[in-house]
Amino acid sequence: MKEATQLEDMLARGYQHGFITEIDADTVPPGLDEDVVRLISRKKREPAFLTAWRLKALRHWLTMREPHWPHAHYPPIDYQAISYYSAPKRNAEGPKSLAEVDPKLLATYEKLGVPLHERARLAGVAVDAVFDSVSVATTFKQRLQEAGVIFCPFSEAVTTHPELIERYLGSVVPYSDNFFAALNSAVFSDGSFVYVPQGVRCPMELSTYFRINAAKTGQFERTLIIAAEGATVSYLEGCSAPQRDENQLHAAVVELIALDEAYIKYSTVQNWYPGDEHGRGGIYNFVTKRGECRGRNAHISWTQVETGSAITWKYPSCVLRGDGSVGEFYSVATVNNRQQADTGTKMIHIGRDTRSTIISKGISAGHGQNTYRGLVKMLPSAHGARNFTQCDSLLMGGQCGAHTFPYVEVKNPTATVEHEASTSKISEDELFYCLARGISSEDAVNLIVSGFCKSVFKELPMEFAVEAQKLLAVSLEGAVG
Amino acid sequence: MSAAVEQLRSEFDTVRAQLPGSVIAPERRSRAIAALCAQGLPSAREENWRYTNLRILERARFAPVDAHAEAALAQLPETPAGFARWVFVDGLLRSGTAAEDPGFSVRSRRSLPAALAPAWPLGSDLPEARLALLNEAFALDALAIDVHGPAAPAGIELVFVTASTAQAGTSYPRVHLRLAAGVELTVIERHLGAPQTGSLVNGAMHVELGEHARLQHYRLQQSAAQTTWFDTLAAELSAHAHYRLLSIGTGAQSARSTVHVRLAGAAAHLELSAAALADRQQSQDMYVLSEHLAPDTRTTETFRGIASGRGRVAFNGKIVVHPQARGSDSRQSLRGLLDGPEAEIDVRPQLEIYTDEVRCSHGATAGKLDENMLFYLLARGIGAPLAQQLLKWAFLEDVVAQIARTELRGEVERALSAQMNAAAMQELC
Repeated sequence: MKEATQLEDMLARGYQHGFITEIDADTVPPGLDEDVVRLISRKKREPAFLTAWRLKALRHWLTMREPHWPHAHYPPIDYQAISYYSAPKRNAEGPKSLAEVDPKLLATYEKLGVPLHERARLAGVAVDAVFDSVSVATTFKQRLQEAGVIFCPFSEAVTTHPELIERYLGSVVPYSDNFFAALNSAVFSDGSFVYVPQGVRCPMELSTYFRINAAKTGQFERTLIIAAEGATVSYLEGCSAPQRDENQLHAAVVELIALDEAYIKYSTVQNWYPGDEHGRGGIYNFVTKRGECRGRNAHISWTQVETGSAITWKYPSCVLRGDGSVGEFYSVATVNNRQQADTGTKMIHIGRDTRSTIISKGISAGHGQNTYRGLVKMLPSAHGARNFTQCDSLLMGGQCGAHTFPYVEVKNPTATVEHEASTSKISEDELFYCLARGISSEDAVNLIVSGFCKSVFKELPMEFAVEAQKLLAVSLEGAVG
Repeated sequence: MSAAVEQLRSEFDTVRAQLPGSVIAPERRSRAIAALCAQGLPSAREENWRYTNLRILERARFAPVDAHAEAALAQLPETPAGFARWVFVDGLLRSGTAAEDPGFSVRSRRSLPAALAPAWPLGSDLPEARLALLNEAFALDALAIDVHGPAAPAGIELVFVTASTAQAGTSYPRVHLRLAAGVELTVIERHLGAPQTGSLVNGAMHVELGEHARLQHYRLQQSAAQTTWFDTLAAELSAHAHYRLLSIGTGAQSARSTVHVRLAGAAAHLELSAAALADRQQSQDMYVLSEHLAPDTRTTETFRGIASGRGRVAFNGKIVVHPQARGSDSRQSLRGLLDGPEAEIDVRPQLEIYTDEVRCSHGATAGKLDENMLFYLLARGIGAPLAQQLLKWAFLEDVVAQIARTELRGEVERALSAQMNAAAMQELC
């Protein structure tokens, strides 16, 4: 009994990153029409081609209907009640150094543990921190510049490298791709842009912390990463949002382009506010992430640890166009309380001898609903292509759900696809073994869950792996009593 | 409203007065057509129909076949020993007599006065049952089989022959099979067709198993090469009932079988084994939904499909474990083999689980013949065509070996072998 009470206390501890920073935000009134899109574009001083592209996206979005096939239930979203732009107010000429950045903003990063200031240097991480929608500070630019790597806020890249933006933006996820991608294309505010030139191995891991702050503002990041021939880059994305009662919409688009022999590793730890134990509040995370291996032997690897958000709708995918290219997807998705996750991947094999690996681990607790949805498609040209998929689900408690919806479509007789999946609860024998050795039930569960997720965690960069493990422990607190 | 739905409604209005009320009451037919018009006919844009060839529905004549061609009934395979046979041609009972023993009754509902016809469970509350609704609206006959005692024969053979072309209308075979508590029965269901006839068949079958009842159901779909074959099978299992469904699909130009099994009683067990072969431009599609609604229920699914030439084989197996179905166990093993440059395999092993006291697993593969195995056989002097045949044979064996009746197994093996040889010949040409 005593143990049960302790667990309940821990469970009730709530979201630890829940706080709001009061900053005078420059927010557009709610609603979306062509004027709003033009306003966003004007505020960001964008070239004409981008304004036109946004408008095309908006017009297309207006003809589309919100998809309801995901295994998630939520009240209808009023897209006209959302404000589509919010930027922290700057001094007239903008901050020239970190000293000029609003101290409250920096304090927020401190609380979140973003290694932005001194810690950034110590940790050896360059951070392009996105606060709501506009990037405020970027470090390590110098070292990256020396290597020829472009790593900057998207809005800056639009001004400094419009030719790259025009060439690559929307080339992997066109504005017409899906409802949320179209919305993002019309109103995206900022994000990150990375270009690693030919033959360059990026000298450090690139990292961005996204954070949703002002009330009722959607967050519409746009990330574009291009690895030219023979380039290598590892990009980390971490998220955390303050506690809030209203649901917030987040519709990001991430595009990755890997040319001949290039390698992109994209790692995510997503810890947005998941709502309380009754399902109130929490982020709606509707994200389109897709990478295209355009060149021979290109390699794209997605790793994600999803512990947050009220609803997650996300399928980081790989289009394996170049011969011999490789796609990987490693995922841990956890749902607790009333969280719902419908996540997975798509591996589209087009080139010869392309290979893909999918390892997905789903953990469901409380009343959470966790869905793996994955497509492996071998097109007629994919001679000798191979895929291996493993998706396992772990259930904790009798009221949660774990669902697996794989799609295997093979149109080439020399291609091979293997898929296996299992679903079960935490083994009572394993629990008993730990408890009998004096390990508390909480630690025992953490241990077993860590073991369950090991094959994914080992793919994460070291500092992320530590954070992910902690996050998992926190998000599953009290799940087994 | 789409053109097909308009066509459907107008055809129904034309023939409704001639549809026998004893088979399905007129108001139920109207309800079925209204529900179908509201939902629309299945389309390839829908998740559960994306692998089915539905083009024929756009230009189908939905009204039931009225001018019945004489089928070559003499060419039917021999009735297995101890089995009683009923033969339908284009959805109408043609041979087989009504039985009215105390423990066993088989009746064609068309021959009954309308007032005596007992109500049947509605098909409209089942997911993906729209084609069953279509059957409900137009069926001209239905066979009601009730088994509740030892007087029943060892087995029942149901033969459905299609003799008319799609221009003459659609055939709507319809069967309701009920086994009382503790009864055991074997059913062999065959679908055949006169060669060179492009027919449209849309069957519906409802199976109810009482407590501890055991049904062994063999289903052989060997329709003629140009036939479009649709079928909806719904089954409800009481506690400890055991349903073994073995389906072999080799015939038809395009076949789609929708199976919905509700494991409603504790420890009910569905054991499904299915094999499908598609060559030329054939498409074989099967959708199986198994719902675990009670504790300790079990599902075992085995599927083996071979696609040759430009054929397409699809299997969509969905298992839903409801919160009350604690202690459930489900296993799926789905494998597809590709044997042609333009062949296609689509497999979807789906799990939807709402409780933690479960064990569910699935495995799915799609690919070509194992080269190591092929090499092993070639190295022993076996020629390539024979080696490939042997390996394909072994691939299907997981399903074929489940056929307990020797003579039936022999027949299935001959049919599979003939089809595989034909496909191989086609490749060589």
